[in-house]
Amino acid sequence: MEYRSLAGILCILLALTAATVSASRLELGENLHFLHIWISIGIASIKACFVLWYFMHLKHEPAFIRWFFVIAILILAIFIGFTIIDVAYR
Amino acid sequence: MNMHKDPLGDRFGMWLFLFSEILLFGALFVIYSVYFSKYQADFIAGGRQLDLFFGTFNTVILLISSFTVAASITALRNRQRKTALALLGFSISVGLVFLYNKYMEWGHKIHLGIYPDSPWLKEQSHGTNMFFGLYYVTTGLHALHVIIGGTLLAVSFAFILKNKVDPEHPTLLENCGLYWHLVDLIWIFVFPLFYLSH
Amino acid sequence: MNIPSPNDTRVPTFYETPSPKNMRGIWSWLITYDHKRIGLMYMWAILGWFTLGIVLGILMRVELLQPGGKFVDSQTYNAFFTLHGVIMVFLFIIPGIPAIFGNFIMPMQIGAEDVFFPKINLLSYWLYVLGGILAIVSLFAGGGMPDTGWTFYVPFSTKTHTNVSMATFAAFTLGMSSILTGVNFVTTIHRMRPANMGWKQIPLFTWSLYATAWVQILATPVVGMTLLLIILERAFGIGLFDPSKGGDPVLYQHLFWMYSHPAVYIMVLPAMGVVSDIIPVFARKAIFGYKAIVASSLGIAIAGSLVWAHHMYTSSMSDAAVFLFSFLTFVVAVPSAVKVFNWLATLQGGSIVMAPPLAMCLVFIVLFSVGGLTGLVLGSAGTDVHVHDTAFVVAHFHFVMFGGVGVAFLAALYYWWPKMFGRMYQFKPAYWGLGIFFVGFNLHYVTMFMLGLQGMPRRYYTYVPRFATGNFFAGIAGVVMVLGLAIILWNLIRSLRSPVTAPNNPWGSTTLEWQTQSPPPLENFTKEPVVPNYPYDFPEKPDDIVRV
Repeated sequence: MEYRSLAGILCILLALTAATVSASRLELGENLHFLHIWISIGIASIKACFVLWYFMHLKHEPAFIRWFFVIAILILAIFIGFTIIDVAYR
Repeated sequence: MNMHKDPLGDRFGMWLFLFSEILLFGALFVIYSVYFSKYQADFIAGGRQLDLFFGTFNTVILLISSFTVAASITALRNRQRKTALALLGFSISVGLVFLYNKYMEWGHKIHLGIYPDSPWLKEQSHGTNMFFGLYYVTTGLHALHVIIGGTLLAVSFAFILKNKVDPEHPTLLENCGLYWHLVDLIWIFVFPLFYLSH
Repeated sequence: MNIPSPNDTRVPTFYETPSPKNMRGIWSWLITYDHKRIGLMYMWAILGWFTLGIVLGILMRVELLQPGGKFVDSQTYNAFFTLHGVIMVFLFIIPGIPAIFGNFIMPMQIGAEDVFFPKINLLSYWLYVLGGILAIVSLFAGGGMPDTGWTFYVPFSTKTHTNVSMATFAAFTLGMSSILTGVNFVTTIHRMRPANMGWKQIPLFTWSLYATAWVQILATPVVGMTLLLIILERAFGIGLFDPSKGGDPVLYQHLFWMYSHPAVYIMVLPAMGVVSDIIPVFARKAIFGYKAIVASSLGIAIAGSLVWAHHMYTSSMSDAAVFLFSFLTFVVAVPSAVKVFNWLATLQGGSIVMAPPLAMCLVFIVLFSVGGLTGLVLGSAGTDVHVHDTAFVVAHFHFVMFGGVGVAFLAALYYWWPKMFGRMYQFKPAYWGLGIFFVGFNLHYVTMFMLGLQGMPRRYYTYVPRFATGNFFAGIAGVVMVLGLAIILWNLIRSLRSPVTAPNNPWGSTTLEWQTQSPPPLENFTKEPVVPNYPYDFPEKPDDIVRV
């Protein structure tokens, strides 16, 4: 990737960092307070996608590497999800 | 690293290894999610006790170092060897700064009596205990990976100097770069989970 | 069929040609890049550990011959079953088939010269050796051999004075070895096949290693982290699993079984791959349902990663979790059953040629099926409550892991022995040994099913008097079983005394490793192997296979 494009991605990442710090300071009130963690994870996931796609060149790698990455994340999601199902219903 | 005639295979193997690293930290994310759901208020309070400035600063410089590592690969491809070396050197320095910040942060916390099994922590609520326990283990494991990543970048630096890594054989640098980006990726999640629980 | 004629020229074998080239003597083995030598080094180490594990099993059975701790005390017995588990699980069965036959045979099955990362392969081997050494050190250093069981459950593992940290670090090291092997195999299978070997022409043994390698990569790190946390807990008292500090001990169990259940599929998938390769050869008939077996291998790998908490029904986890994991456990039984049906359908209507590898595969099918069916009793939460942590569980997993994977391991040894060593063995002692083993095995472990149903707990050094007859009987049967095992293994060792005369393809197989010399040359093939259109076509009627 050209320097310019990489620098552009960096700017996006820094902007998203600023966004996530600001979002964490938002007063959402008692009812919507639970959203904070999801917003944080959401923005972090978007940042991660930029790093993966551009800095780590996933954009230019063959599809099977991208798919395997998705599978790895899915497995982790299942590990977290099923454990939470236990904890949530105790 | 294997000097194969199949650079895609080399990179694929590196990605597979990165998957195992993701699952390694993944176990800590499992633990975090369980205790966050159990002790939400304490986790939020705990987050307020961490230093937001240090955390944000570290996030920013790590992102910048990810950029410089990616740029060093571009430089190598463009046959700008000196630029590549400079960018790599800068990235390694960022790693050192990150570690120094971590050392300061931890030192400050320990000075305040906040460390695993400390008398102060023993008197706190269960949730606070879990938050700081996870904080030390997660940032500690991450710092270990910063050290490993920095070492890999230094190895790449040496190999470029010796002309063993060049535009025709960039794979070692690319793979060490992938590892460094993974270190950045982990921190992208660690930062909000610990520093931004407000 | 490939009977050597006097005019067949033999090229130097990999025994005579070291890699790297300039090494001599012991160094040409210790720092070799050759996947075949690495496979053999694994084999001798693994057989050594297996022997030690068997000895520990016998010692446990001696203690249980009568109630009351007359042979050893409870602390020693606890150390016995812990070490037996650690050795059998981490040093024998998990590496077993992949490290030996995956390394030696798999690259040849895909027509390759070696694995993709030969130096990392060597690193995997030395990490394996290091893990074993650390396990031995834990016996003598610090507080002595852990007494927690190989499962290292908290709170006992974080509080006991025995050397849990060293033993768990040994397991961590072995895990790193396993992960690197997984990375190597996935990359090798993706990138080193010839152009005319597509995904649907890969032999089923290689396919099974592929599915296994994915589980190794994705599941092992979770237990690695968990064991690291035990060490940190013992060192720093963080409290992540300590209820008095806010931790959840059941969370440890979740994390432990998140790997250790998929681990049993790391054990059994390659074993099933061995059986899928052997059965068509000796039925002289293509495998029934190649695609179904591939799909079921991947299905087992995926579904097997979803069922871990069926080890935890009585742990106080939520009813919702009990329901979820019990349901999914029934699901994962389906692809395993698919394989059994396909093997039987392959045998049916075939021209059966009896030889020790086939005999062992038949024993595998019987014992694995019994083990699998008893798994349903355990997977069903209602019945599990009655048999959890009893001898029933112990019998179940010995049926699948010993009668299943262990016997498939023997089958693999007997199938590929002529290829690896260039020598054929005698058949009759193998049949005798297998028969004696089969009788002893069933008498030993079926007794344990019954003892478990009657309520005898596992991991106890003694028991109440009503269990005495059963335990005494099981102990005698155990000796018979080990006797059979000894005959099976001695028969192979003894064959090494005969000259190197095995032909390229004594069994008439169609997979690529049989198209080259026995033992193979360093580069595996002297001419480009011919990839058959479909892996298991057997168009010709068999002649009598080569027998000694």
